[in-house]
Amino acid sequence: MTSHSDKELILTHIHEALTSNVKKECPANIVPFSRTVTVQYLTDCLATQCSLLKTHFTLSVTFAETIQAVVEELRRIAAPSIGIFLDHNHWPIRAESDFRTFFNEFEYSCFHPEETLEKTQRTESLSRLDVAITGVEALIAETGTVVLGANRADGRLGSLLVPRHWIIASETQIVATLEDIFPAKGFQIDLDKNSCLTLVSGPSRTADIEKQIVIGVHGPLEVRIFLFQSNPTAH
Amino acid sequence: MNITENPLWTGPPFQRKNDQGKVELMKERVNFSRNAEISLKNKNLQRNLDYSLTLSNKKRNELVETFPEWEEMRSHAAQLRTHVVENLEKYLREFSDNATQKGLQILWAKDATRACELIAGTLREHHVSRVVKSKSMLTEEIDLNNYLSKQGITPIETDLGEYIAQIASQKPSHITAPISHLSRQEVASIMSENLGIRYTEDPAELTSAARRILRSSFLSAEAGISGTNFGLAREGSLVVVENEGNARLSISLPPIHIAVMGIERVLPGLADLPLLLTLLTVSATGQRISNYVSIINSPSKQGEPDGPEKVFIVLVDNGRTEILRNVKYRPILNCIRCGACLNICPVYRKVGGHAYGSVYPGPLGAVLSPVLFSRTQYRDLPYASTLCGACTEVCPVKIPLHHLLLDLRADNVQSSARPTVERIMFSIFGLICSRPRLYRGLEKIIRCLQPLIRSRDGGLFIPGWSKTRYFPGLAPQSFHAQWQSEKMENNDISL
Repeated sequence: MTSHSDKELILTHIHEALTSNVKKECPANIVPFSRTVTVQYLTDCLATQCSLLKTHFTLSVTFAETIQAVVEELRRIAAPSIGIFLDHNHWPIRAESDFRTFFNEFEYSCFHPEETLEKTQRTESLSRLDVAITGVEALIAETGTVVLGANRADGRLGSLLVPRHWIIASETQIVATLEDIFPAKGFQIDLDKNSCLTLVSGPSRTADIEKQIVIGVHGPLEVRIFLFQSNPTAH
Repeated sequence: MNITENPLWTGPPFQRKNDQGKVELMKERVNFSRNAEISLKNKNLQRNLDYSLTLSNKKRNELVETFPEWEEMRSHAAQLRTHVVENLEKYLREFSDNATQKGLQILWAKDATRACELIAGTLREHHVSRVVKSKSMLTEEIDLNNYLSKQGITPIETDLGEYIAQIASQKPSHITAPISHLSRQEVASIMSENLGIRYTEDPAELTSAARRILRSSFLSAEAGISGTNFGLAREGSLVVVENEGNARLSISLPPIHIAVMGIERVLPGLADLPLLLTLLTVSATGQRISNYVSIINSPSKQGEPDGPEKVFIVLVDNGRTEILRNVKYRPILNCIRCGACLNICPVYRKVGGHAYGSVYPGPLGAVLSPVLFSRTQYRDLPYASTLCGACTEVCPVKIPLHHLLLDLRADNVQSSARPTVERIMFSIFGLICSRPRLYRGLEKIIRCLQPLIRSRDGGLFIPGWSKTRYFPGLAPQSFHAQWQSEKMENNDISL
């Protein structure tokens, strides 16, 4: 009984306290809190995972700055032979001529998606490259993974036969988890457009000899991600 | 009973059906205790196993701790795999239809011989004389390399561990880390002797030598053979998981790709892949994700600059439908071949993979080998366990491995496969125990005689047992006698 009377007492006090004073401004309805995952957060996650995987990671504001970073890195390693696999969907500059201003000091060749080289000839020219610069379908923040589709200028081998694989991608291409690139979550990479979809997480490695991790086995010895912040379509 | 002279197992023993449809065994019965004894004396092997398996477990355990939902993931995966196995017909039909529609060619093989014939036939048809192979336990199971070599086709293993095993004419001793039985010194000698490279114990240098040598093999091979980690029914796609890039090269460079796949390795669809992939790589190598995961949808498409012109999928039964028939052992078909149970097993950690005399060693192999290949040949393997249950605990798809081992032991006991000596001993024991007067009489005699059979450690000497274990002798007075005398002394005290 006492508990019941206390209940009424407390509730009456609350009612009195709130009605006798001026009401504070507040929304009439509250929707449940949902955390928005920002691009900034995804980029940070990606950078952390990349460092674990020994993938080099460079973040720039604009595409031009990214290209500048690529050029600086090329100067540093003095790479003699560069292959640029043009990414028409995700890079703001598409034409080969656009690269001339940046890369004229290097020996480079551009590969176009529509170009069809004879296979052995292509393998030979790829084998001569020191650096392959490609785009990607998507990046996965949680695992530091890049998603490559075979239906691109680099095909399956462009990112595989060359010792250094450098990726130029936009921050808008990052998704949070592995689940996000698959149909269940909506972000759909068209499987049927590509004969093969490859998830790449860091440079190739082995631990077959006494569990010692050795970087660089059959795939690339080095993977670098150059990320730019601005939206390529707004360029 | 044949005693294997060399515990280093030299070939996959499997059953073959002869012309009359009878099962023929290719090899003698595996004598596990004899093999284990030899392995235990091998100091070098002990050191190598201890070093690499401790490291594997540590990496796996540390990563598992970062998944708060790990147990839920396991439960979900266990249910998913059981669902697939229970509906295997539906999913296999779906997989095969969808894959065919995408231009992948499906070949069905009821046993090892048929699988080898189909693969060799396909290779011959395309005039292939050199084929690069990425790691696949199934091709070990069907002994493909041997078959191809006899047909004049050169198979080249390209996974670093498998390659080293191949040039040393050894068999892999672990399903994911094939040469965990070798030290870097042993690898160095194998590589310098067989490849003519400079002797070095630096893994990085050895690896780069293998890269250089194998690159030309990749470029000259006319076909590539890979295993399959998962087949996706809804999409009709294949998933191949690896770290080195050798599988990517094998399935991308040559014009022909042949993927070998066990019929149980299907998943309903792509949406199930993230969970299973994570469980697989975390359990196998302690990696959040493997370096390379290839999802293969079709042969090279119009407009793609490279990739194989033809892709074949060889679906292999080889005893799996036999397992399916027996509800009790069906859970072993849920296995995703991560190898975590090998790494954790106290028996595997001491004896290594070769002692099991099977393609599949460790707790997984101790269950799978008898039910997949032959009960008589692998009769010993269910005893290659302490039944501690660590394998069951670590299994990412929750296969009750140590329960299955117990079931297999029970089957052994119920079948005539039980050794005669054991059978006679137990019937005598039963006879004595059910006759109290006989029991007490014999007990007195043994108590008097036991000083004559003392072993050096103070216990009793039992041939075979006392070499490595202690057998406690009988107490000076039996419990029954002690109870009686206590009661007489204290009979005035009421309890």
